[in-house]
Amino acid sequence: MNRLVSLRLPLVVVTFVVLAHTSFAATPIDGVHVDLMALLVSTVAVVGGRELAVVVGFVAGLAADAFLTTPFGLSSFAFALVGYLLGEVERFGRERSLLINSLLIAVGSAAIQVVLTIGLYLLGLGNPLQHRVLIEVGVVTGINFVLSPVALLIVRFALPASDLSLASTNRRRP
Amino acid sequence: MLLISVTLMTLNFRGGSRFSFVSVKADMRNVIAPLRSALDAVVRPVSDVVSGAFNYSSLQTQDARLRQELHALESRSVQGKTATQELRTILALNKIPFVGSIPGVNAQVISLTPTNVQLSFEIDKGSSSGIRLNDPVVDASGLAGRVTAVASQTSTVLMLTDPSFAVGVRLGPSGKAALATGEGEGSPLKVSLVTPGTRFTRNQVLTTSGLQGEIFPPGIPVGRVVSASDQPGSLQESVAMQPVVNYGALQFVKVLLWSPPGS
Repeated sequence: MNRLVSLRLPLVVVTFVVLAHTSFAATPIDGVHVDLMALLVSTVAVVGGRELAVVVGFVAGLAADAFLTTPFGLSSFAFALVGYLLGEVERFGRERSLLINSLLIAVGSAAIQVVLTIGLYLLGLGNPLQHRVLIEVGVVTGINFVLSPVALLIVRFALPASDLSLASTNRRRP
Repeated sequence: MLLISVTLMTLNFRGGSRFSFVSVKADMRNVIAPLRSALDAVVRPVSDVVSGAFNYSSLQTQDARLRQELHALESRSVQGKTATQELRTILALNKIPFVGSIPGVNAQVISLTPTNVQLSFEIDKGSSSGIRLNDPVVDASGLAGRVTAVASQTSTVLMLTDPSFAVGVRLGPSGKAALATGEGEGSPLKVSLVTPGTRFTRNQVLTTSGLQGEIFPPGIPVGRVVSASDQPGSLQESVAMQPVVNYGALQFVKVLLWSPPGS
């Protein structure tokens, strides 16, 4: 039974990777696509804490990079970095309202878009001064805010109880 | 994890072809591809079941049956029209005038890559069909992009509208060359290096220049001029053009197996 529980998170990650490349995410809104991977990493950070978020972010990033021609490791860096930083919210307690969690996920999604844009700029592959970047950040933030309650349910289901309690244990450290 | 990411990035960016991770990416895509098809196959019957349940709620069985027959006929009619349209598209791909004698591989667009990092689409042909990196991709109307990743059975094509896409274009009969670059989804291409005073007509088609070192053969339509303005004191004219390819309706493309002269 425990093995099945520990398989839930990898299955959820794979499902999000596949979903992110099906017709579900293919329809753009104002030319911007849903960023399900950012939603997943931000949700894991908010629910499971920084250590889990950095691992999930790294793995999800590698999967995302496989479909892109940008340097391998860019998405995993962005996801892991933002996942870790957002996961720091576990220090401020685990009991939060749905609205606060959704806002944190939206902020995390926006941060991932910003880090990716900066990364592309540093590698000479993009220009952060284009007004499109603001539209992308805005739309992804909005969509992920709306989708966050569902993502929270899925990630809470996927995380083993030990990981959830680990987050609270980390919080109690001085 | 962060250090590993940075190391991977550095190796990929600075390591040249030795550390391009092309095979790793291709393997990962090959693993995900059947899962994606499977998930699509799972989602479709669910929606069909919901639709079917809705129809069963009708009390008039005969009406329901008639409706189903009507739906079937309509569906068949739509399928017929779609098949005819697809056939026309494929036939058009085999008679593209600007391709000339360049050999090519016809491919079907299987998905638009739903990401904001790059604008690209995936086709159902890969290295097993002879497709290589940077091969030009066209449809019957003109240039659609270039191949940026190749797996054994699929390839990724970078769209013209991607901000990292650049193509040399020729400004009509004057023969002057300029550079067209992508400006993001829904935005027209920006044409730079245009000498002030160059005259354009609305909807004038600009074609690939095919200059030395250019990865596209010459004479492929790229876009139609939608605006041109000559600012006083500016060193170049500001020109925007709309790609001739309609990405929303893109179904089939032709990958040109073309190598630049001297490569």
